[in-house]
Amino acid sequence: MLSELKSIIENVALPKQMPDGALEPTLSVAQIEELAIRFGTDGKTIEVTALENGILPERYLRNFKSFNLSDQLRLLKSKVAVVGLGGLGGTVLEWLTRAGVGHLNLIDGDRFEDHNLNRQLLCTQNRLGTAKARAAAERACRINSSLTVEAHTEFLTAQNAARLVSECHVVVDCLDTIPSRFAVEAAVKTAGIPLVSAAVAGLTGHITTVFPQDRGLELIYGPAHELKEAKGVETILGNLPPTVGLIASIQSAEVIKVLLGQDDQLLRNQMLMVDLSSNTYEVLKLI
Amino acid sequence: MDATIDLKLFATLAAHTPHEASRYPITTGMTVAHLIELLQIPPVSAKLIFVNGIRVDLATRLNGGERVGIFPPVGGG
Repeated sequence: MLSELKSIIENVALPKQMPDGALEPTLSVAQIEELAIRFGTDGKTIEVTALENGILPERYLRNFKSFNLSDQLRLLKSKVAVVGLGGLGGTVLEWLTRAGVGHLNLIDGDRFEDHNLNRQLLCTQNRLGTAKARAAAERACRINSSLTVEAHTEFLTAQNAARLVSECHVVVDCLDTIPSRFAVEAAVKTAGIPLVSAAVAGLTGHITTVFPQDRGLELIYGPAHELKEAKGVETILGNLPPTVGLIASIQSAEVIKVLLGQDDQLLRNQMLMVDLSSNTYEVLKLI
Repeated sequence: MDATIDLKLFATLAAHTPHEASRYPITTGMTVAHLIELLQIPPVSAKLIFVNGIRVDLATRLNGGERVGIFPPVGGG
């Protein structure tokens, strides 16, 4: 089947002009859907076969050449867990889906409430009271039906963590309490998976990347056992839409860099701090 | 000439920002803990302290000329 699929893809691929003027063979969304039905397979198989044979699904055309064909293939074969699908998670989901990350585990036991509407892209009036993980999965499928998307309507705990992050290449911490962030960090360290963590309050936010052998979040929040409060100053300052969108976008870029193996460009043992009130953007060294 | 630091207080701590914070006078050799006390910041709120872009602890001494940034805990999403 694969050799037949390969030759059909090569025959139907249409050359499209790249931003630099070069012509590259591409496959449209409609062609991908048609071939998936014809071969009784899924869109991802069609896209993987295309990319392996030098053909770019047109949906990724504007990722090119920042992502070359092998980068795009690597993203499509990647699995990422997004933990928390509120402000940060909703935006991270949007960018990872559009970037073409092939498998997303979407984890949140929460439901939408009115006060989510100011910043959470997945939260719309008609969704109030419904599960965040289901809204996230639906959004991802509407954007890119070639992806594998799992909705987990449960909170990540020490008990279910191993199952929920199994075989993931990166876990994204988009949570909203400090103890739950430590719980996710403990789980991914046990599983040996990198974590990209971000947090916001008012016009301030920060992002860091933690590999299993790194000290990680204790460098930002102090040791977990010394935590006095579950929340930070967001209880006073709130969570503002531009901060959430910006910090989540930086977090998404960091996830993609981890997936593409750009290890020397990560925020390991560092924290990118953004303060939109004073227009301060600085990479701070945590050790 | 007296020693000064370039002081930046973030998020809720911005309310504690003194006049002319970019040339805030210090006593040479004073600790970060003493600085936080002078600024009347509750110690539990000064979660993260950076001197010249590097995280330091409360016992770190300041000599003047440093850039000092102080953050409260931030945990929202």
